[in-house]
Amino acid sequence: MFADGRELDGAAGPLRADLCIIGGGAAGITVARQLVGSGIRVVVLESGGWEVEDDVQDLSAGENVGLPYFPLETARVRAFGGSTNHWGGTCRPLDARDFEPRPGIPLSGWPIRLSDLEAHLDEAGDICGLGRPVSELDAAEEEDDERPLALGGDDFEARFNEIVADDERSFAPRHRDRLEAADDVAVHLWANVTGIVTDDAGGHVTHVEVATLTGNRYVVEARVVVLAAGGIENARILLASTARDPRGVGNARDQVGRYFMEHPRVLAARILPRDPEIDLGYYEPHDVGGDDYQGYVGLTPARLDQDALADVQLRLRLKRSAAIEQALRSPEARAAERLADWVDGSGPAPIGADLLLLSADLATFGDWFVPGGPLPVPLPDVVRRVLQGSTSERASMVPRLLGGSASYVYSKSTGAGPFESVDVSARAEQVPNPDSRVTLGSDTDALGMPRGQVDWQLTDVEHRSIVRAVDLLGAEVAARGIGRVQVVLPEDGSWPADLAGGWHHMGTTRMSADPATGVVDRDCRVHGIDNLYVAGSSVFSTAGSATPTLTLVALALRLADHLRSAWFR
Amino acid sequence: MTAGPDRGAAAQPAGLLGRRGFVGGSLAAVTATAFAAGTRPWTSLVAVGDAPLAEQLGALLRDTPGVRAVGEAYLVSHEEHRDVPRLLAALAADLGIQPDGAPPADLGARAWEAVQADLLARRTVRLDGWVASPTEARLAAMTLLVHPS
Ligand SMILES: Cc1cc2nc3c(=O)[nH]c(=O)nc-3n(C[C@H](O)[C@H](O)[C@H](O)COP(=O)(O)OP(=O)(O)OC[C@H]3O[C@@H](n4cnc5c(N)ncnc54)[C@H](O)[C@@H]3O)c2cc1C
Repeated sequence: MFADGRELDGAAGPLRADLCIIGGGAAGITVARQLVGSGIRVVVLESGGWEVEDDVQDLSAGENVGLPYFPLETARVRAFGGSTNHWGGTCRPLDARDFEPRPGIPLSGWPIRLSDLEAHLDEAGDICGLGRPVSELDAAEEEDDERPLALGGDDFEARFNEIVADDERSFAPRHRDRLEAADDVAVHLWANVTGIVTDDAGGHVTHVEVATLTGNRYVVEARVVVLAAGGIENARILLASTARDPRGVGNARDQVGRYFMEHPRVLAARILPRDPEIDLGYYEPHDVGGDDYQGYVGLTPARLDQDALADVQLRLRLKRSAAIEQALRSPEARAAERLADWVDGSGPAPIGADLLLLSADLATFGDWFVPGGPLPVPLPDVVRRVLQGSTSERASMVPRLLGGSASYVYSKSTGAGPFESVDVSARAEQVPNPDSRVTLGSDTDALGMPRGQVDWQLTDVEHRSIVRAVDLLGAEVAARGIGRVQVVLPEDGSWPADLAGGWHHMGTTRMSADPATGVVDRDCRVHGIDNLYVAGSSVFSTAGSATPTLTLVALALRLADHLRSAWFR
Repeated sequence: MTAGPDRGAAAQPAGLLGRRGFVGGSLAAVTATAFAAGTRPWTSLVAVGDAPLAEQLGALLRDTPGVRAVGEAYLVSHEEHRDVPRLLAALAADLGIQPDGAPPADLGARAWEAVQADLLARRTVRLDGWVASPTEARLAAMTLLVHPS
């Protein structure tokens, strides 16, 4: 069931539950939905409501004091469903080697292995909205008609991300009904946790403090608490919970908030392909058996180990020449697009997009027009098919004709080819670095809580790994006769202005067997506190290069199992 | 691996030739024209007449502004190779031939193989960002040195 935190009666005394989950995003929803029907009384405290609201969103605002990063209030969504309301839906499980100690990667090696999560991955994929079980990812790759570039040798392998369909992405509509119908789960919306309070010894959470933007305040007492408020807020809430200890909760070893990891993303190189019609369909989002996949160039484990590299994904994208880009934005192109919609009879539609693509495709010209002519004159057979064809045939042919003409005109007037190069953007694994961290700022939010402060710091490992990856790519692409590579990432170790993250917040309560190098243990329980757990990618010991949500959902499923057996048997 | 004059262009490393307008900027723009698609990068894969070795090596790549720019970029970071005998010695070592002997008949093929071997062994240099085989960079430098403009 759902409740409005603003309307609960705080004066009526503490609200009691078996389990209190802080945060109704991917991780919190997963734990809660697993316990539906178990008889365990669950309260989920969620800061937002059903939609993004400015004053709620502002509670996430804070300062960036390290490398340039997204404004914090835009990097997360505070509403039921959390950031799955905005995420890209790209999924891939971490590799087995991501969990192991690796050469050159400081603090690598998780206290658990992939085998501890494997049993949960298919269900995690289903919860995330993936069309096909995660365990069938390799099979999907085999069914794919698109082929990766023929890179190989011992250094490269073609790899695959699955993308959740647009309309399946948000956890809010996907999981709302199940929680709404549950008698044993109460989701409080517009309910902000402002503090976790422990007993005097600091080893046991006694209650959680809640405040609303309308001024209501109340307390939730639960046997067990799961903190699932996102990678920045998890650290912030622990650090700001100073009722018993000025260092915060779970922070006796000064580990909370450290090791903030992202997936640094940067334009690393360009390929000048030998074949101007190079086919990069594998690297675009494309359909395989009804689901969307997108390939990338990965480095083999052998190469990563040999060169002690952090993992890097190289994404390839055709970059149209500026002249073509400009032409595509011209009134003529817009008019052609409208005409195409008219022919199609369906209004703004993919056919318009096709036209835009086709108009950049010089090859069409050769197939559809009289060769060598001074003007784009359609071949007689093409004219006949257009005139005699059915509406749907016309719908598919007219844009092609227009596209061919357009590309002819563009190429004649600008002398430019259909595209300029292939952009190679790198998304690297960030390695654990204690100086990359979330702390508290001096400013407070509308509820009086210190704002979060992010000091994002990278090391030379990420830079070196990206540079090495594109250097290797350069040699391979040339050796195979595919083209030539120009590295654009500066060699001096500096990061260019286009450096960004992937909106992935990891590591700030990292899992470590040793409390000196992390915050939670292998069960995601905060070291030194018997009834406080953390869910979300803040528990990642290392980041890997894969997007985090699938793995954090699998971890949340494992946590739900653990809670049942350890606390509610 | 065999290589020779009849090896198709597709199997050769995409080499030193031009396509317009790849990148802006002065040196970048010119070197870009060296690394490109479309036509054969090598003038010939057989030795030309009985010219001295240095000259034959310097004639293996087309003498284009792009190739010259690559050669210059290489020499900027390898000043010692502005000295032709030293550059010749380095290239001879790349190709496994004697610097002071007669040029072998399969000079071009050997050069092509040496470039390929560099790339497969991941021995590369960066010239204005372009990832290149050191052998091809030295060949470009030789082109520049034996045919000063
Ligand atoms: C633009 C964008 C694109 C992304 N693309 C991808 C992608 O393609 N693939 C991928 O794997 N990941 C992606 N992500 C990341 C993904 O969204 C997160 O990994 C995922 O949402 C994390 O789940 P979570 O439950 O830990 O945190 P969240 O989803 O952030 O949920 C946390 C919840 O806690 C609530 N909360 C916060 N503070 C409090 C408080 N004090 N009291 C009560 N409640 C609180 C919030 O309102 C929120 O609902 C993307 C993120 C963004 C923003």
